[in-house]
Amino acid sequence: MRAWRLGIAASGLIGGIVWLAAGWPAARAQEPAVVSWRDDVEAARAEARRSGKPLFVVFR
Amino acid sequence: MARPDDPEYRRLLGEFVPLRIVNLKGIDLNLFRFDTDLTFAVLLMNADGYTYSRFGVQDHTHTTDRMSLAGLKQAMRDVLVAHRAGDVDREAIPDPAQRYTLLDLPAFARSRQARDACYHCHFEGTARFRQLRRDGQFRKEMFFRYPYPENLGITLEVDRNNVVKSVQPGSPAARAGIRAGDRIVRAGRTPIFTTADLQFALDPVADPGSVTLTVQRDGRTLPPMTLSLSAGWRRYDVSWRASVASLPPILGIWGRTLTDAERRQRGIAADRLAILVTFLFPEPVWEPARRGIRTGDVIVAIDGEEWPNLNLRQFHSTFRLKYNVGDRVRVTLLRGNQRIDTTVDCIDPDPG
Repeated sequence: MRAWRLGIAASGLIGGIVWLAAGWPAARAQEPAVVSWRDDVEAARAEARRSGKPLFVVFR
Repeated sequence: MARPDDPEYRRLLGEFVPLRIVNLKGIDLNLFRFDTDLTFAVLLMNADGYTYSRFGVQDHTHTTDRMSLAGLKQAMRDVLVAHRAGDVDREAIPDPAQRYTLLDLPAFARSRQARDACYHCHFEGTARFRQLRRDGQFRKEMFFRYPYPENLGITLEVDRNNVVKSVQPGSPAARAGIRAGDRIVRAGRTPIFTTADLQFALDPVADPGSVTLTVQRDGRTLPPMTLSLSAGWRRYDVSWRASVASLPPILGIWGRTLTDAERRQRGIAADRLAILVTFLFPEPVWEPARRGIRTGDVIVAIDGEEWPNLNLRQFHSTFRLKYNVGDRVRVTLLRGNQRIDTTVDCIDPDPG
């Protein structure tokens, strides 16, 4: 009985880790991002440097 | 064009730091190099100022005929791959010491536009032409900035950016061996993801000149192909360009093309020039450039030549390319049932 409970707990833990490692970030990525446009060039460049992201610069 | 509610666009945008620039005042034009006549231009770059790709194309037909949201998303995906791979040409990173803004161009700093609160993007082209004219270095060939893929003899897929849709038989691209379905990945040393990238790579190519393209066919990269470009290869309809519209000479009038019904009524063929004059530039300086012309007149010939049917912007653009400041030009008008000739002077209203 104890071994059965331990098995359930272990499989739940492993499943959670697998979900966190793969499923959750993927699910997050599917969500529409909240777009917050910057208008300060140097601040945006600093943020790009900090985050490792490229810049999307639009001229309108 | 880039609908903010498109889920994939929003997800991709979340992978970037989004920066919106609506005023060129104080903006480093050495860092941001793009076709400033566009009403919508995107640069995808890294924090050091390296531009991976450009997006945004316009022509005389319509602002968005050459762009699609699918194409923009494809460019964003391609750039994310390049960015994560560290695919950066260090030599193409602008030197911060070369920073300049519009106000660093003396011709702009002294202009009326310099006092405006908002500097439109196309001020850059206007200021550049003005400065070149002032320095005595301007040539009309400079009108033809950022030549199109069609100038090489190819059209590109709107949704797939750098994939060749068709090749014009006998064109430089056809002679070099480029085929429909090829993916153009490099022009010279410039990576090509989009039509705007190809235009940017073509911008410094001489007339006549040559350009070397690298293409992928069926997943394989072929040896580079060199296209020989004969004299006049850069030419195209520049009438939509705001920067070009600032240059003299033009007639001192505004107007519109006659409708089909109005043409029939006046006996003017559908494929011939017929510009109805609706407005005369009122400033006295324009008088020699509208001499003898009245509102309601229809311009049907220039120097005795019946030009093809053109809209007003194309008419001004053609006139500007054909004539120089100081020329005298005979304009044939239809006034009621009468044909009248008048002679106008080609002037520079703002020689300062």
